[in-house]
Amino acid sequence: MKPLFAATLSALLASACSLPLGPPGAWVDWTEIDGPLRPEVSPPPTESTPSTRLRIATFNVHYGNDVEGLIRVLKQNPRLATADVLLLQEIRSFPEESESRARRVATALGMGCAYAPARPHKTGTHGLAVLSRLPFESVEIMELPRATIAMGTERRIAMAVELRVGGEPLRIVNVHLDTRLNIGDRVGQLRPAIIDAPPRVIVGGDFNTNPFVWTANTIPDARTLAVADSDQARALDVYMGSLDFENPTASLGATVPLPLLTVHLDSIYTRGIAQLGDSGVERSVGISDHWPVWLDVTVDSLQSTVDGLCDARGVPRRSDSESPARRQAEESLSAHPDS
Amino acid sequence: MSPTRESLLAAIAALSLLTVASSASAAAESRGEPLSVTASPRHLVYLDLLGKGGVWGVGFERLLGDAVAAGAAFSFTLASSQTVLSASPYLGVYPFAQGRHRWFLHAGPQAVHTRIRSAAPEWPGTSSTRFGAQLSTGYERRGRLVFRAYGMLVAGDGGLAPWTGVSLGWSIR
Repeated sequence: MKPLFAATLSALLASACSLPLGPPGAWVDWTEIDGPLRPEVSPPPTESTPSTRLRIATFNVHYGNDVEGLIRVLKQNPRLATADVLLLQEIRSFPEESESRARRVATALGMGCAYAPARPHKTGTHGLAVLSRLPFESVEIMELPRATIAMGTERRIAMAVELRVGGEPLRIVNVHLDTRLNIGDRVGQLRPAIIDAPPRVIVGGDFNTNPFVWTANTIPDARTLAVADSDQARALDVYMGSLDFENPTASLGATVPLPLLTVHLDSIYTRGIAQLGDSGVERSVGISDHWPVWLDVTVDSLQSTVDGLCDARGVPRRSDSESPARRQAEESLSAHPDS
Repeated sequence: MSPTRESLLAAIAALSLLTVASSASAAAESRGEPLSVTASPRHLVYLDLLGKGGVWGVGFERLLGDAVAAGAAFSFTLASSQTVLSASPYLGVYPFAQGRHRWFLHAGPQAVHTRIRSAAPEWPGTSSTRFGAQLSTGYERRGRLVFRAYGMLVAGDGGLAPWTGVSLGWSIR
């Protein structure tokens, strides 16, 4: 029985080990990245009329292998075809193809393209893209804390673009987090990409907020689905709420087509922005293992952002501690009084 | 915290099955048919892989009669950034038995406490305790060593979840 006992003990100890998260990188302008992971950025062919109203969509395209099919479904879907900003995850680029898949999609939709490879894949790369009808003021990449996961350690990135909306800057962050993380580690992986974000920001992507507790980041405790409070999507909303983010897409239900389970992996968080109210999950789009999620927003002025974080008496809404977003909004306003 | 309709239905179904199985075994006993394999020992300690405790658990069980048992399984999992503590008391019956081979049915409530730790200073994490019900059924080989393989259904606020488990235990007098 000694070998069995030792094996059991080893398994229990393994389950108790905490996940080592590597250090985060810093935001790096895309022009400073060289080599095989150098991003590519191209402006939109025609500039849209500046507006304070935007439609943002996020879509994990599951490699985008069928580029023509992807273009077709995006063009045929009235919600997606009119999106002003498309955040894409899991899109690939190969040198043997005429141009990157992200750029092909962007060209077909008449949008600008910023593609950021997260890691090499075979002869090409695998990464994130932001397609936009508005020109990019800046494109930055950050390497997220790397999670050491058995059979799944991968380089993950966030990319941030700055657009000028209604004459003022709007930062949009696109992320794709690891799958087999518990919520505390998921927060740890996301945090560097958002903690210093300006008061007016949109954060979207595939947060992989699955409903499991993972033991040793390998075994999902499916039992917790039914009994324990293991919904990572809800927990991430609570965390983002502590930074004054809202998730207008939280109540949209499943974002992946799984039988029996309602799994909300993809979200769009906003801060300092008034939502128009329309949002949705396009479940008729069946080209990927995710469904696209979209949200219509109007963008406030910076002063409105500061005001929105206070109550009617001008007192900060957060009574427990100073709101980070409010502090940043005030700092930004004092730095740019014309805004 | 209030149980959903699904969890209540599952709990009722589990208890109904337990009652039916218990009645069947009692009837068999009254007819003098051999049901139990071992009159003794009557106690069992076991390790669960997956099963009632989640990913792993330890359990104790006592035979209350030839074909009825009561037990409980416990688990404490310190997953990365998350702690899950669960307790699953249950009643069990053995409606079928042949030699050392038996078929068992367990049903009972389940309490699961989760604690999320956060390294982010702006969010301390959170904790919650939820209650549900579990019904499990499967094969058991009972001797000095006891082996079980079973499937189970867990019901709670989050709905129903299928699960499975394997147990290895030791009989104790």
